[in-house]
Order: sequence, then structure tokens, then C-alpha cells
Amino acid sequence: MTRHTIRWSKYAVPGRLYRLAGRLIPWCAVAAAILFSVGLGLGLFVAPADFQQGDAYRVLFVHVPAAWMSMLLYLLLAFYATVGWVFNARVSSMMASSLSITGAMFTFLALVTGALWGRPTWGTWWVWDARTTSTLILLFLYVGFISLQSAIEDPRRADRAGAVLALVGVVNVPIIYFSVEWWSTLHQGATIRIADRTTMAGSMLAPLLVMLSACWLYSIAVVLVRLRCLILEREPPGAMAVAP
Amino acid sequence: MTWPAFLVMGDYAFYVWGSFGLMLVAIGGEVMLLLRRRRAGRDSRDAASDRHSRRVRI
Repeated sequence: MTRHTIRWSKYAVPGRLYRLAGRLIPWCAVAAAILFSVGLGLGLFVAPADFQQGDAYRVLFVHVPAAWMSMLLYLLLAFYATVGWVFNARVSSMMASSLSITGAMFTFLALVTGALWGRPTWGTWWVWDARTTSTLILLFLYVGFISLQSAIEDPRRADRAGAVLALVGVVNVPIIYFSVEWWSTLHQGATIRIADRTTMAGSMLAPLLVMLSACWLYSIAVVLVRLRCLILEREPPGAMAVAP
Repeated sequence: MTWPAFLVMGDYAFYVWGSFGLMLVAIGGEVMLLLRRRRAGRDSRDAASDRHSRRVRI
């Protein structure tokens, strides 16, 4: 029996990855646009108003996917930055750089929409509780990573410095996730659980999951476009001519 | 539900539409900046490969 395996290492060649990204981007972008439309339709027109929070809870259809994406993209950033640093894989470091801006955007979105949700439900725009503070630290980590990379002229040195910061900062992600269990905060505990029964109505859960999928596909599309830009900027003109 | 009632969002219009609007602005802004960067990258790449091929010919 023959086993067909994908040799992932061949995509460490910038030219090949550039072409693969070019093929994936349109699919991800179209799928993201469709899912955003479906998610917005379900979230605004189909999902019923919450019996306690009324329509204010609809902010969560933006806030929760943005908050999840901010953490997931940081984990991916730290992974790629570390792989780039340890194995001296420049494509991996470029991937980390590509993830940073989208991750920062989602973290900013999570913080601002959190404030927009907090005002009508908690009665305040901001509280220095564990989750909001650790998410603010995550935004500072993203901004620090981006600033560090743009401050150092030599891309290889910038990648190494960014990897150190990303690796140190990764400890913040479990703090954000488990903060509601470790400390007494205004944030409620997790309502969506993988191992346990979800405590959210299906009509509210569906738009949330559709929006999350849309954010994932959007992130893949924009990160790949940025990766292609970085490959064009960093690689010499001859490096793009590789065998398919 | 009527359209005015839908737009008012149970008196939470500012918070709900503010969140959705902010998301659209953020995503639209990122896409726009990215497309501009891609165009600039391609232009400078074309100029660089022109210089490269001219040097190879010489």
C-alpha cells in the first residue's frame, strides 16, 4: 500500500509558498465574505433578543470571535516566530510578521467591542479585571512585536528579536483564557465548552460560530496576502523562479 | 418587527451598530492598506527585475 504524504518542507521555499498562497487567497476571501454575510444575517435578523440583556448581547457576535482570534493568532505567531528562530526558517518568520497586524487588529476590536458591551451590561466602559487587563497586555505585546520588527533594519535580527518577545509573551494567553476561573472577575465563565454541554441557545450559538469561521477564513486570506507582500519585499528577484 | 424598531435595537443602537460598524471599518481598512502595499510591492518588484535583467544582459 502506498502512502501519499505532503512534504511540508517544500513550502519552506518562498517561491513555492508564494504560488500556493496565491491559489488559496481567493477561496478563503470568497468563503469569508459569504460567511460574514450569513453570520451578520443570522446575528441581526434571526437570533432572538436575550431575555436579560435584550439586543445589547448582539455585540458578542463581534466581540467573542475577535477575542478568540486575538488569542489564537498570538499562539500561531509565537509558534511561527519560534520555528523561524530555532530552524533559521525565514518563511516561518515572515509568517509570524504577517500574523502580527491582523492579531493586533482583532485584539483592538475585542477591547473596544468589550467596552461597548460592558457599558450597557456592567454599567462601565472599562474595569481593570484580570481578563480585560491581560487582553490589554496582549495588545501591547502585538504592538511591541510590530514596533520591534520595524525598528530593526536587518530583517533576520528583527525576526530573532521578535521571536524572543513572542515567546516570552505567550505565557499571557493561558492567563487570558483561564483568568475567569482563577480570579473573581466581572466576566462570566465559559459558555461554550468542548467537553461539556454548551449553555447557549442554538439560535444564538449558530451566528457566533459562523462569525468565528468567517474571522478564521478572513485571517487566513489577509495573512497570506501580507506574506506574499513580505516575500516580494524581502526575497531577491531570482528567488521566485523555482520549479513548481 | 418594523425597520425603525430594528434600527433602534431595543435602545442599544449605539453599542450594537457601533460594534458591527467598527468591525467593518477595521476589516475594510486592513484590506485597503494591504491592497495598497501589494500594489507598491509589485511596482518596486517590477522595477527591481528590470534592473536585474538589464544587468544580466550587460
